[in-house]
Amino acid sequence: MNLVYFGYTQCPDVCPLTLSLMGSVFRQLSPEERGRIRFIFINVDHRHAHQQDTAGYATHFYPDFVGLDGSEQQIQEVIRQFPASYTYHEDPGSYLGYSISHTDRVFIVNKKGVIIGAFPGSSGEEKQILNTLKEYL
Amino acid sequence: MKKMHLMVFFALFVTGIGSGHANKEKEECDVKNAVVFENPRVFLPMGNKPTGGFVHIKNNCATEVELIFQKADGFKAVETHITVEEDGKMAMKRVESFKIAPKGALELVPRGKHLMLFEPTKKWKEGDTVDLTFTINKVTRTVAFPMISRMEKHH
Repeated sequence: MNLVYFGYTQCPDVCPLTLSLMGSVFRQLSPEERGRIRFIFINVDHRHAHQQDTAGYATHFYPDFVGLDGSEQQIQEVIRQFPASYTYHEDPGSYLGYSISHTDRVFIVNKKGVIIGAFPGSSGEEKQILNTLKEYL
Repeated sequence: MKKMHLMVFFALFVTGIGSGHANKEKEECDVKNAVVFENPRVFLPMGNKPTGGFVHIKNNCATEVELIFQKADGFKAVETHITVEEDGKMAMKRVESFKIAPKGALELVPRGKHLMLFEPTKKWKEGDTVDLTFTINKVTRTVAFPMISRMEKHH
């Protein structure tokens, strides 16, 4: 089973909240349960992904987390298969010069690639997520 | 008649003192001491990634105060942001300042109003403190924000 989350590594609020929450959830799963779930963070910031260590960012929260990035086309091909989206916002007055609004949900995808569920990302409740995952395992 | 004049004079005198006292409080609120920072904290940055700063601020002044964050020692920039939900997506809006109502409070929290600190210029560790400098109604002040692990919350 895969858990898929769309975000970006320069996001200082909801993405690290979600990933630290998921890291904590994974630490509470048994080794056997962990072996059956993979968490995938997809960096939608294709304009700057080449400057960023997406894989390293994901593993900071839990060693087995997977961080992926890609071209705009690759990101579009993946995200259109989910009820998810992202939008760039230019902000020349800010230090980064941009921000990205994005869906804040974790999607549960089974072995066949079918989305079988979802739960809130940064606003998720740890115990509730644990129960949800155990139900699906 | 003389008695009445005295009463009017007395009433004006007392009212004058009262409003003068209120005005004085409004004009001379000591923002350095009357604006109180509780539980300031910054999440330990991951490499050179931006991180967030949070705090509870109580305004004990009888007037609104405006906070403009200027700099964070050990980071290249600090900004004030608000996380909002728009069209089913989480978005961040940069704002120039935060205002706190008279005798009110402001909570900077994850998923809400918060500080955003960009590009650490030194290697930070848990327990270090970040000196954040800002103006409150144009009065400059610096508050130390302890660095805490982001994971702490979920352990």
